[in-house]
Amino acid sequence: MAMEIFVLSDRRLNSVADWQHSIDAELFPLRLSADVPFTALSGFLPAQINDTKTGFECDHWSPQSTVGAYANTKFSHPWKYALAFRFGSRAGELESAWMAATAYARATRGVVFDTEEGKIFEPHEALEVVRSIERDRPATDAILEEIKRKFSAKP
Amino acid sequence: MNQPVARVEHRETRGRSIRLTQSRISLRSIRATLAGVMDIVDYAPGLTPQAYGRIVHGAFAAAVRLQGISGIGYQDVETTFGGSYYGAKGSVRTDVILRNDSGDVIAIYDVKTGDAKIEPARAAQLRAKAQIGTNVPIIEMHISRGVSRKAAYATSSQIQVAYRKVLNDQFFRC
Repeated sequence: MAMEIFVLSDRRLNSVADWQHSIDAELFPLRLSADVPFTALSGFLPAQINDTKTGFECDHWSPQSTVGAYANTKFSHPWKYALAFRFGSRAGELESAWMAATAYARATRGVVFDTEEGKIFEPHEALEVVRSIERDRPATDAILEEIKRKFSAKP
Repeated sequence: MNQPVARVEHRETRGRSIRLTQSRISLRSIRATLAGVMDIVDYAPGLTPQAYGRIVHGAFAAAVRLQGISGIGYQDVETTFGGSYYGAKGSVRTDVILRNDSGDVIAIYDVKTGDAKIEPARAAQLRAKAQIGTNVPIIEMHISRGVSRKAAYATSSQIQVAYRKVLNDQFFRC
């Protein structure tokens, strides 16, 4: 079940190690899989958040494609690079994608574009989203678990 | 009573229209399931858009699995392509796939909330990973919050019960 955000930027990081460094600087409890060359990022990128194995799809993307698809959003200028993050509803995916995107945007002086809201977040605003996601996580997990429990119960 | 309602639209990204009767029935079932999910999820106030999106997608996955829709098995929800297990490095995941009697993928459904949409490049990526051609439609099931349609299904009451339990009834706008 894919949700989607992008980081738009005018520069790129050189490696996953650099990216991990920026994640650590934000004090996020997120570890990216280190054995994927940054330039080769495509599809699911495994990660770990606290003790939970998780991850998100991560692809180098065409910023023109994204900007063109969301014509109602006012982008500040023609960004040179885009990194796509796609994630599902399973534990940790939402948090890990937003943490990774926030750190990447901060490190590249880019922005996070949330397709759900059609809204652009500066890194400090994206950090607030991360905080709200963390705050809502217990309730969100409980709602989802209760829904699944009801569905799996016999009528 | 002014209840929040949901509209579910679908849009095909390239590919031919689905012609098989089974496929049409499945599409109606999926739309109905999503509408039922939305009717309930919209009741929960105070959710951030991110939490809202996660719950919609998670509830929809659970609901589709429950429905036992023809052509959609348990493994056809959140299916991994390009890897042997969920979360495999480099893989992609689809929301729901529909198979014919031979087991071939004949449609991919993708749920989008808010302003989100499927870019043609994403559709191409999914087709490449799933090893399907442009004759297989990728159908965007798009939800507009708080608009136009009310649906009542068995799954709705189940989700509503779940919400009430977690959110302690007081938050509901019924």
